[in-house]
Amino acid sequence: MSENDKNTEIHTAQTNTEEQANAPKESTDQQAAQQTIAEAGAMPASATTAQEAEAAGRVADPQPTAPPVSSTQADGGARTVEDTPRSERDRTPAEKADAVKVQSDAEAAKAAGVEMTKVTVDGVEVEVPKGTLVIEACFRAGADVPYFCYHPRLTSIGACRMCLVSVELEMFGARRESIFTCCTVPVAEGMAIKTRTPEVKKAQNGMLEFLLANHPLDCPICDRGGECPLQNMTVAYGPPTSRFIEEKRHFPKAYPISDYVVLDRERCIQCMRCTRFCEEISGDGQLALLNRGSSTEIGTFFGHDFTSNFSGNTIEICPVGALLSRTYRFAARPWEISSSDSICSKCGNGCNVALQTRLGELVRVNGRTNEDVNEEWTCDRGKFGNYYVNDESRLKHPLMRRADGALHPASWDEALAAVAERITRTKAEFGADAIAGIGSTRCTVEDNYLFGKMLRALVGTNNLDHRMLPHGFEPMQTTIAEIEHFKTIVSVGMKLDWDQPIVYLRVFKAYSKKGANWIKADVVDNTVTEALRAGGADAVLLLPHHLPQDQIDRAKKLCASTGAKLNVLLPDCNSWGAARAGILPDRLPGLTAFREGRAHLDSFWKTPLPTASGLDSDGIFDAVSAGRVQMLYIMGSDPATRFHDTEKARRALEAAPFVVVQELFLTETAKRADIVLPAASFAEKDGTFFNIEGREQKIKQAMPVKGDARPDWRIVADLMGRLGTPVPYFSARDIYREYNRSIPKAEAVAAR
Amino acid sequence: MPRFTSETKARIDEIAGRYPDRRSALLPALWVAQEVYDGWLPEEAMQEVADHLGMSRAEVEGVASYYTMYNKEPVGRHHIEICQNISCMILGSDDLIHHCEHRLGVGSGETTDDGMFTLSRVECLGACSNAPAVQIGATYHENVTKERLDTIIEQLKSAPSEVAHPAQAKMPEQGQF
Amino acid sequence: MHEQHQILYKHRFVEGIKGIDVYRNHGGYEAFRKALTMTPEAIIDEVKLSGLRGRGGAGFPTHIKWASVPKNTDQEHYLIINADEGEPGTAKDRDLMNNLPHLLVEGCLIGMLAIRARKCYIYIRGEYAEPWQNVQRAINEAYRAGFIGKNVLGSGMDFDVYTHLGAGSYECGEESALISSLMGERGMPRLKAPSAPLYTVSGAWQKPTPVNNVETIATVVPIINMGGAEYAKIGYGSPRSRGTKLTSISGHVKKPGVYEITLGTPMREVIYDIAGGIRDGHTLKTYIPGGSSTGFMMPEPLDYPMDYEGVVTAGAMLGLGSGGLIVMDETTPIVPVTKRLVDFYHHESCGKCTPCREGLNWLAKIYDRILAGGGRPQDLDLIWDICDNVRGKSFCGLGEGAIVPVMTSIKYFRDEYMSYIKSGRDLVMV
Ligand SMILES: Cc1cc2nc3c(=O)[nH]c(=O)nc-3n(C[C@H](O)[C@H](O)[C@H](O)COP(=O)(O)O)c2cc1C
Ligand code: SF4
Ligand code: FES
Repeated sequence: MSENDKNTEIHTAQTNTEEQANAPKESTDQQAAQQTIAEAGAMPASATTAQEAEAAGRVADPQPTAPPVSSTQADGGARTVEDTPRSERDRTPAEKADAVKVQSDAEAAKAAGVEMTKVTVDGVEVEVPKGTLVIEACFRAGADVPYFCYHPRLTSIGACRMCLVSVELEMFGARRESIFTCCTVPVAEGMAIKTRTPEVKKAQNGMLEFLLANHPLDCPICDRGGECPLQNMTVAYGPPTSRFIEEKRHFPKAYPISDYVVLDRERCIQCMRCTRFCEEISGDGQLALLNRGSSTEIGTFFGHDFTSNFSGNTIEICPVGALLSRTYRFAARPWEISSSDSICSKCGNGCNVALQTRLGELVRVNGRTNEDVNEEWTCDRGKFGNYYVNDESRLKHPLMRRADGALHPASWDEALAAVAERITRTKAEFGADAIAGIGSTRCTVEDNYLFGKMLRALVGTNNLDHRMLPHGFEPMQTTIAEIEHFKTIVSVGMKLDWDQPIVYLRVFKAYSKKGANWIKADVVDNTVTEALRAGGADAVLLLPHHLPQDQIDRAKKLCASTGAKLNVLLPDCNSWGAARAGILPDRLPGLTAFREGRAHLDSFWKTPLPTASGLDSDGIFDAVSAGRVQMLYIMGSDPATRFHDTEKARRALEAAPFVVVQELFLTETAKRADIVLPAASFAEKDGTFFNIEGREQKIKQAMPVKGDARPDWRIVADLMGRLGTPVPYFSARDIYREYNRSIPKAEAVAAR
Repeated sequence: MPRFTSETKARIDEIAGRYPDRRSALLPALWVAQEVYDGWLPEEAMQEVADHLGMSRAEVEGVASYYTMYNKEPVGRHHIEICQNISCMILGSDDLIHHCEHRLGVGSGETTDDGMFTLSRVECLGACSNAPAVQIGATYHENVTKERLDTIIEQLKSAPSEVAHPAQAKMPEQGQF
Repeated sequence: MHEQHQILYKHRFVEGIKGIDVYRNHGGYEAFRKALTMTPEAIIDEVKLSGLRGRGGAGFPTHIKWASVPKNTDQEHYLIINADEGEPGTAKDRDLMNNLPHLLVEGCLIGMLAIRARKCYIYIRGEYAEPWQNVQRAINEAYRAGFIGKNVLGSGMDFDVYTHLGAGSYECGEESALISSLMGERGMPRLKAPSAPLYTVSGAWQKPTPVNNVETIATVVPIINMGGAEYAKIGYGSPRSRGTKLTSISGHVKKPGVYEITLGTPMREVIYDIAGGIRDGHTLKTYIPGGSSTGFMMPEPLDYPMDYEGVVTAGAMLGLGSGGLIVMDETTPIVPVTKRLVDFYHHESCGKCTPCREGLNWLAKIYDRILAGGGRPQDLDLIWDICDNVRGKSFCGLGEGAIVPVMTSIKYFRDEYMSYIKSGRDLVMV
């Protein structure tokens, strides 16, 4: 069994030394502040013109002595400046969160002793860190400014001219007032910013009239209708009528630019958010502005597919319905949607997402803001890959293999009774160790915890594992967010943007914005060694978990000697959670070693646990083939296709006298089962995932469960009742609380 | 079929060496590509430029489509560009354009069937004090009258092609002294 | 008649002055030799004394621009020359580059000394193949003669001068768009770094890169030769407008051409004496003083001094501009001419900012409709208000300049518009 011990060797998360933990953090605020400065625009065009004119001794304001202009604007006395609706409600959740971010950043900055600048916004005095953009100062003061091209995570460009405000400022010894775009100008001491003067109002009216002039106004059939910033800004700031009577500009509509994204150029307002995203955030540059002037459009290279793994984000940041999701198109009106906060199930990065459903079907996945993880982005796998939960081929009833050798529908009662009976019989005939369980890196911590508890406490076996590779675990030595502060980043053996998308975005940020060195290698070779040596403690090494163990060992030694941080990146949404829930032959919940944990669990679970380590997944499959294991219980895992040695797994599945599988689909593994129990997907249950960093994140039920399926923990709980435990479980929360208490105090290191 | 030879690439590399970063050579590189691709920039030309400069292809298309002198369609052997802006206009460039359209039997922006001439209206050529002005290839013709234009067109029929920006083709030596 | 000082054009008509030998025989590169013995501050001081202001359109004092380049910087930085000349009516830089390319090259060398730069990029518009060849030939000659290259004239300094060819975009004359274009991007104007309000601190490649017009930089040569104070004595008008200005005169005059005109010469003299007056049998209807963006002006007043201040006092909306005087007689149909300019700006708008992109598109459509006979009386107010919504709100000077001819045409020629709107034709039958 020592072999197993080695396999599951656990390295306690290496807590950063004080300096290390603080160093990047302290600089974060400053860097953020500096970054705002660096990314911000400069003096407004008009101010500079005035300045140049002043310096040149020219008359600065060449008011044309105008012919009488009658106001043809059909204002109809409709709205005054005062009753302009506030735009707060018009911002998307992400944008609202950004406003909050602005606020908290500023407070943190002040606390950290950052130099502050005092300005007034509509008479309200605010203090903001030096270099803050005026638009952010406005938000901080609670004033509203309409905007389209501004985005806090993108370089300011001042293109849409929507955010015009009036600013009074000391310049060349005189106080001047002029209108400029507040997304491009940093605050200056004593600025008096006015967001609601008649001139500003006229400018806002004018800009919206311009933007709508060639906009198709096909809102009734536009997916964005109802959550469209252009629509909202028009309600809040626009003129009541348009004077544009000419023919509008026409482009082909609904032009698909990839499997996921469709482009409607008529609706585009050329804000360049999407193209800046592709350039600055995802770095693939696949969308670009084409042509110029009023023919400017966005597009991919000669209409080739938009193959970026981050294309979906452009849909979310587009302030109009120009870039649309092909999976969401015409699927719902925004007001019919119910939205639940959840975590993406497609990989271990743990993007915070909103699962949006209509009539019990998932219709859209949007990113949610979490500065520590995905900021606000998602990858396409997450945005478009979670629709499997709607799939008609999902299992809806329990299935049992009947006398004819085929799987047939059964009732839950029948199926669970059969499983319980078989467990009892097998245990009686062959002993508890003739039963083995495989847990899942895609089920929640709760599912896995209860699964482990059932097998250990009620069945009495330690033949329990979840791993598809014969590897140990190496906790990440930095958080995802910290990666962006490293000067040298080495990634090995991955297509980072596809395998670890959110980690990739951080790496790209470090590389493109902070000048980090980014070295890509296929294996841990001399290039890697040299890069790490040169990088010293300022280097981080990123490895995929599937690299051969000897490579990982080599990397470990290397990092230990150079001071570089090592991050071995796990693949699945709850890879860490399955381990931490104790689904390992020699570890208990909280990854506690038997030695430390058993006494505690014996009393907590009120059952003496098996004393020896069990078999790991390789051992289990070998033992099945050798006839030592008689019953396989697999929860949410598909070793027939995912095990490192699929042949071995399949042989074992064929050989096993009895196989129980809890699954969403009739997978290759489920096809070989004797009883298949339909499980609820991540969108249909509550629970907890631990992402690659070990960050604890909650998923919430977003839609009713398909057919007769049930959450995995509920299936296990039911079975536990049948196996004789009197304790009922009612919610994932109960189980999580119990899971936490199952970890002995000393080991109960909170998940990061 | 890629058309960039090692010599083409060396030329672009030499130009790139004049700037602090490689992508700054994009405009000259597109000129070179236009010369290599017979006076216009098909998709493959932009692809080659993008690959050689290590840039995103879409960005290259974005830049190429921004500037009017990069031809997005094949042009005739001789590209006649008549200035239509104010100084030329008030001295009769519209007449000149109509005359030319008649004579060549094509509209502005079109190419004659034999591929000999492409006729375009262009904006101010910077020859206002000798208006009206016509640019053919790299050559300016100033104070142009209908009669002179006729003569020029006759002469061009037997002249060698000027499709690529000839100036670029004759890029003089630079910097190696 | 006022004497017209020939400072830049002193040797313009000398046979072979394009070549370095003739140019040197006429005192060429002496100013550069002299500048090599001066400190950068001393050069800037001479320029300051001369009162030289930008000849590219904005009229910004050159010494301020140069002095704002950070001193003591170790980082490489660059001098950029704006030879994009695209303003309708302006053809003076082309004339200078074709005929006096070495004057430009020498100016660049002095400019580099003044700002401590060692590299210079001359951004020439793509259409200017001939001027480009002339300049490039001059650069090559200067390399061979040892004025550019390694250890120039034993000074221990290395200089490089490069040409960069544009590809057809008026907007690339705007200095920040020029920087974008030089960096291989779309020719769209860019923001200045907030900490550094001028491109002289953070421009191309995030380095200090002042942008100077061809004529401006060429003028530095005689300034160094004759001394700034001497240069400042030239001029008949405002004490803030000194020296001469190359002006391309076009349109309905007897002697169109590029002239070196002493600043402050009365506009009447410029049109009637220097350019020979209106062609026979016709009268002056209107003129544009300095390139289309400066808008239409009326025959009266005409006796004001042609300089930076003079045109403004005479009612120009946007100063002296780039020196492209377009003279129009009474046969000129204002509405089609204005439409032409609207189409021009619409065609050249980069599309970055909303007012310029959409406003000009809208204006172009309205003008199309008016010219097609579909004008409405309220269109004039509409046009005016559209212009007003563009004004002061566009990102760069293009949008700002585009509306000036439109507004001035409506201001001065409302009747012609009304006649178009009523009958579908201009008052002037062409
Ligand atoms: C739309 C636009 C086009 C311009 N085109 C030119 C040009 O073609 N040549 C030029 O020298 N300046 C042009 N300018 C002015 C430049 O922005 C800048 O002021 C000038 O190059 C500065 O040089 P100077 O100080 O020597 O005049 C243009 C400005 C605008 C707004
Ligand atoms: S598609 Fe959307 S994000 Fe992109 S430029 Fe157009 S409006 Fe902006
Ligand atoms: S943004 Fe294009 S003209 Fe100003």
